[in-house]
Amino acid sequence: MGFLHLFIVNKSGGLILHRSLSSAAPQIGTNEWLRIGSTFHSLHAIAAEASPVKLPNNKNSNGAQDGIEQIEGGGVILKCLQTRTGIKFVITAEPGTSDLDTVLREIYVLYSDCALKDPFYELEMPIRCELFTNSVDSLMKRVVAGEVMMR
Amino acid sequence: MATKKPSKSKDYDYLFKLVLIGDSGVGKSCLLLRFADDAFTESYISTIGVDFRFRTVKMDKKTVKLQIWDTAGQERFRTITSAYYRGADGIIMVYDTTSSDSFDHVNDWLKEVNRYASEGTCKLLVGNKCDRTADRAVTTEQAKEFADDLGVAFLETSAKTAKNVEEAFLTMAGNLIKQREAKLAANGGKGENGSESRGKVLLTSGVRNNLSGCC
Repeated sequence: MGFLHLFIVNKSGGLILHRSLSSAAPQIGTNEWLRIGSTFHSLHAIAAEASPVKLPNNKNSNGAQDGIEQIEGGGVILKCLQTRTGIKFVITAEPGTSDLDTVLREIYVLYSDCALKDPFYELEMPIRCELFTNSVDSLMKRVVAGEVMMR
Repeated sequence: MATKKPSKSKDYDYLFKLVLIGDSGVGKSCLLLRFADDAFTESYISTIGVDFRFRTVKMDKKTVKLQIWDTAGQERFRTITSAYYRGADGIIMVYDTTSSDSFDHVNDWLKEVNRYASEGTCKLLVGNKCDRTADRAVTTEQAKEFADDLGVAFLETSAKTAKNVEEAFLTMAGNLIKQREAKLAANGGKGENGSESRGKVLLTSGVRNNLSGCC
C-alpha cells in the first residue's frame, strides 16, 4: 500500500504539476506525464458524455463538472477531485491505500494557500512554487506517519 | 515511502495549448510530425480521438513548451471536440491546397471554434501540401483573401518538403508570448518603460527608507 503519483490538470487539459510520491511510481519523463494528464482530461469529458444518467447542468454534488472520479485496476487506484473551477487533482496509489479523498482535499487547500496566493503565479500555467511542493511533501510524510486526522 | 527528489519539471516557464483542426487527410498529423520530429511519412494513419506532441522553444529568455493537440478530422470523433478547443491558446486551421472541399470546410471549422474557444485565441490558417503544384485546387490569392477577411494569419506549407512548417508554429508561439506579455503589462505586472507605469504602484524608490521598526 502507498501513494504513487500526484498530478494536477488545468481546466483546458494542460498538466500544471506532477510529482512522484514513491519510488514505485513509474519513472517517466515530463512529456509522458503531460500526455497522461491531457488524455485523462479527454477521458473525463468522454465519460460525462457517455454516461446514461445526465446530472442537472452536468454538475455533480460538489458543483463540479461530472466525470471520472475513480478508476480501479489490479495494481493501481486513481482518484480525481475536480474543483468548481475545473482544476483536476489526481492521485494514484496502490490498491488498499486509504484516505485518498482526504489527501486530495488537503492538497486542494495547499494549492489555494500556496500557489494561488503566490503573486508570481500565473493562473492555468505550470506551478513553480517551492512552498507548494514542500507543503505537499510534508503533508504526504504526515499522512504516511498517520498524523493527519482523517475525516 | 515518499522519495525526496528535487522537482525535475522546472524546464519550462510557459505551457501553451495549440490545437490543430481541419478535414480528415489534409495532413495535420504530418505537419506535426515534421515540426516535432522533423520526419515525414507517405502512409496515412487516421488519428484516433486526439494525439499530443511537444516541442520546447526558447523565446526572449523564456522557455516555452508547446503542447500540440492533434485532433482527429473524422466526423465520428467530433462528439467531444469542445473539450479540445476549450482554453486553447492557439488554433491552427489546416486545409489541403489540392482539395477545394477541405478549403470550403474551413468555414465550418471556424464556426465550431468560435462556439467553444475563448475570445483571445490566436488563429492561423495553413494550406498544406503546397509541394503538389500540379494538383493545386486552391490558389494562394484565394486563400490569402479569405484569411484577410477573417483577420487571421495565413501560410502555405508542405510537410513533405518542410517548407514553412517551422515558421507556422513559431509564428504562433511568438504571437502567444507577445499577447501574454502585453496582458501582463496591462495588468500592471511588468511595464518596461516609464510611459507604461500609469496606474501602477512604484516600488523602486523611497520605499526602503520608510520601512523601519517592523520585522
